[in-house]
Formats: sequence, C-alpha cells, structure tokens
Amino acid sequence: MSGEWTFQDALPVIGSITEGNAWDGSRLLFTNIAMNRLLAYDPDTGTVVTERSGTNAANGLNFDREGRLFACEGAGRRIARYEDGQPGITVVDRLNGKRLNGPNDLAIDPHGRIYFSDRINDVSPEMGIEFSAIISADPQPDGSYVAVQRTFDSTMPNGLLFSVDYRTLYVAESDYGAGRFRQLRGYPVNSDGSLGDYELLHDFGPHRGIDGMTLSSDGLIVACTGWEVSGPGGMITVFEPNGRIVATHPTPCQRPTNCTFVGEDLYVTSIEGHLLVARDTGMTGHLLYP
Amino acid sequence: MPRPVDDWTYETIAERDSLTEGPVWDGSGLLYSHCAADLTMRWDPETGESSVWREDTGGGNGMALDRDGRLFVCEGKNRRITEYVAGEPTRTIVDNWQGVPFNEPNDLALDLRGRIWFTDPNYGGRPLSIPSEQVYRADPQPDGGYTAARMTEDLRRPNGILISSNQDRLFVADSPSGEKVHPRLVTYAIHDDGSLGEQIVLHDFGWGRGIDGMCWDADGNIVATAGSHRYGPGPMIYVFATNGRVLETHPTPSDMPTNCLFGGPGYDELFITYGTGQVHRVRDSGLRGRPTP
Repeated sequence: MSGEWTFQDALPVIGSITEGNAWDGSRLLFTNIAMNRLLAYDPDTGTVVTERSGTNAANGLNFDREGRLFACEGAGRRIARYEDGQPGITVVDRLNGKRLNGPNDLAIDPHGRIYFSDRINDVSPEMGIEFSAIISADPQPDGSYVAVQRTFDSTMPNGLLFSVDYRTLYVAESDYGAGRFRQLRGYPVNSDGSLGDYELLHDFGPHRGIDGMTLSSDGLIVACTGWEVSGPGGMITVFEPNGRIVATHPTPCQRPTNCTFVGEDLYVTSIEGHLLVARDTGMTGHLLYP
Repeated sequence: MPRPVDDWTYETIAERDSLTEGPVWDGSGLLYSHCAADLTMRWDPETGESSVWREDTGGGNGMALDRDGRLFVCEGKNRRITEYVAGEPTRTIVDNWQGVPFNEPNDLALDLRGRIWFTDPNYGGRPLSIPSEQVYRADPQPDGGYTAARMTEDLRRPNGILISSNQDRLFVADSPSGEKVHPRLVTYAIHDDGSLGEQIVLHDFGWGRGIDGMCWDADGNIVATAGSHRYGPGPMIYVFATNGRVLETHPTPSDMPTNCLFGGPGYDELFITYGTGQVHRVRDSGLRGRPTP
C-alpha cells in the first residue's frame, strides 16, 4: 500500500472553484471557473500568472498529441481551442444542429478525437440538446470537427479518462439527483470511436463521487472524490482498472475537483479554490502530451 | 497492466469440500464451521492438523466465544441461536421472534452487556419464515433465559455484524445475493436505551459481491471479506475505517472469502475462511487484532 501523502498549498486558496489542471511541460495550467480565467503556475518559481481572461467559465483543460490546448467552456457552451494571444477558437458548439449545454471535462485520444462530458441544466438554464452525454469532437480532413454522441446512459457525467491502451474510457457518472448514481464506469472503446456497454467499476453509494481524474503511468486511475457532507470526506482515491481501490488519501480541501501529475508530485484543485500539491507520491502520470 | 499492489502471504492451513465459516480463536487453536457437514472443526497450530471438535451443529455458521468460554452459534439449518459449552448439552438461546421461527441465523456479535446481536438472512433458498431479513438482539433475562427483539426494519439481507468497542455503533453487511444488487456496509448508532439510529451507508459494492464476515483490528478498523471472481475487482480483504474510507484492499487467492478473524499468540495472524472450503492464515498482514473483550 502507498504511504501517506502530505498535501501543501502551492498557492494561497483563491476562494472560488479551481479546475482543469493540465501540465504543458513547464507550467501547470488550471482554470478558475467563476473568475473566467486560466492561470499558469510555475513550480520552479512558485509564481502564478493569469494566462487568459474571458474564458466563458472554462472548466476542463487538456492537450492533444500535438500540444494544442483545448478547454470546456461551460458558459460558452463549446469546446474551444486556445492559441497564444488569440481569442478562443470554437471546435464544436453543437450536436446535430442543437446547442451544447455545458461542457465540463475532456479526454483526447491519439487520433485527436476529443471526448467530453456535456451536462444539461448545469451552467446554462436554456436547454440545447435534450440530454446529458459523453460527446466526441472528431477531427475531419479539412481541419473542422464533427460532434458525435457517444453515451446514451449518462445523466450527469463529469470527469473522463482513457486507459493506457485507449481501449477503455473511464467516465465519472456523478449525478446528485434523487435515485441517480455516483459511479466510476468503464466503457469499451470500439475502433470506430463508439462505446460499448459500460462496466460498473465503483459505486459511491450516497456520497460524492468522482469529479476529475488522471491516469498514472502504471495505468491506475487517480480520482478526486468525496465531500464534507457524508462519507469519509474529500479524498484522492486510486483505483486499479478493475475498480479495486488500492489507496485513499484524504485531502485538506473539502471537495477536490481535479488532479494531474508533474513528475511524482500530484497537483489538486478544489471547489474552495485550492492548488494543492502532494510531493513524492511514488507515482507518475501518463499523459498524451508533453 | 498495473501490478497487483499486494504483499500478503496466504498459507492454506485446512481445506474442506465446501464452505467454511465462523472462525473463532479459542486461545490456543482455531475453531471454524464446516456448515454443510454440520461440523465444528478445530485447527491445532501445534500439529497443523484439523479435527472434528463438535458434530450435529445444525448448519452452524457464525460463532462467538464469550469471556466465560461459552460458544454461541448461529444454527442456520435449525433456525436458532445456541450456546455450547464443551461436555454439556446444547442449549437454545432464541429460536423465534414473536412465535415465528427465524429464517437462517447467519452471524453474530456479543456486546459487553451479554446481549447477542445476530443477523437472520435467508440465503439457503427455503421459504421465508419471517418475511423480512433483519438484525435481532437476544437479551439475557434475570431467569437465565433470553428474549429476542427485532432491531432493524430496513435491511435487505444482513450478513456479517460488528459492535464497536465503545458499544455505541452497530455495523452490518447488507449483502443481498443476485445481479447488480448493490450490497452495502452500513452502520447505525446504538442509543443508550438500546434502540438504533438511522442507517448510514458506508460503502456500496455496486454490482459485486458484498461483505460476508468481518472483524475488528486493534486500531479499530474493520477487516472484511468480500467480492468474487464473478463480477467486480475480485475476492478481497478490505480494511475500512469506521467512516467508510477504504484503507487497504488485498486480493485473496481463493474465491468467495466468507469470514476472517485474528488469532495466534499475539493476535497478529489473520485467519480467512472461504466459500470454496479453504482456511488460510496470513502472518504478514501488518495488522493485529485483539482478544475477545
């Protein structure tokens, strides 16, 4: 079993939700959703700068294989690509002609397909498509993207993550409505990008399920879970691909939102606005980029 | 794929041809149930052998030894809780609730007031006797007899059961059998008047097999047997904090672990029984139990 982790504040608590941690090779990017900004933290100097403003409640961030940065803009109701010094470029904002509702988090495969969670009644009250789902934005030869619905059984999907071999898409189903589920699901990924029937890897019962998650280099799922309302509290929960919990690490924040590795250090954001770091975790991340 | 993060060494100390259960450390050896054969076996660490210790146990399953050396047994087949003292006839503690025979008493926990908390599920497939599978408590009376009270109404199929060392919490494995039934580890506050508070869910096993038996370790954590190869992450020993945090998991080499208990001279040997009939000993768990209070 892993030893205990000690979390420290990499930065003073911001006071509103932080999310979307993504490592660009030298800086840790993360979003501050309510403040519509993307921040960049330099672990060498311990300094942070505002990298981008007016991000339309950008939430999840991720890089594709070429190092292009994509964001889930919840209030912008789109997947956007961010290029230095330019306004965000719309990747997809519709599915079958109807507007997306609230993109939350994303995972990108080596073909450049961007799988993202889109949630009804989350950020925007005005309904676009009539359901919540995992949707993929598939790149076309002309450089455009086409959105394709990929799950048909999601009611409030949140974090998502590919396995090391990209043959499984892990999806956090995190619906807090009565009679709904907080679960970690594993969907087999077919060669055409469609998903098969999910396997239930873990059920959180009545407690807070997974928000964001990241993959370790040995294929473990490192997930942000828990809350102060019920259950064992805010936690980094480490799962094997079969759903076995191999370690749990309580966090000093009440509700961790997302996490990513920089070397052996795990950076964690939170509802309260933390950027926490657990050093020397004994694990490293598996990233498509850098 | 990732390496199994495990490290325990499982030593087979006994093997029966069907389900073993009810491990009890008697101070120098291990008693365990061979349920279908109506036998209580005793494994002697001196010889490394098991021998028949008691016959005609009535489907004896969960067992507990009190400090006076009385052995309490869940006799599933006989629908009752009994007391056995070596050399004396078996005595019935309780065999009915409000005049109706129990279903299939499965596992039990003793509290410090001599009360016997037990689960009454119906795994065996017989028609239900009492049409609800719940937790009961047998309370000793001044005349030496016991009365049975039903303590829960909201369980589906209770199995393993524990009382916290300070006597203020009940932990129950609510483990219905079947597909996608969401077995759970739940807890209730035990009030001073003996009644229970609301059910709180500590862990949900989703589509997998839930907890069968469980025991305390010396740190006050719950060591539980759960899981199977049929669905989910497989057969496993779980260590839970009492708030439901999963502290450790250890895959077992045999399927369907049914119960576990610390024994040995230092109470640092973990004994595990299985649906497949094995009894394992783990001496390098890094965990430790404590003697019967």
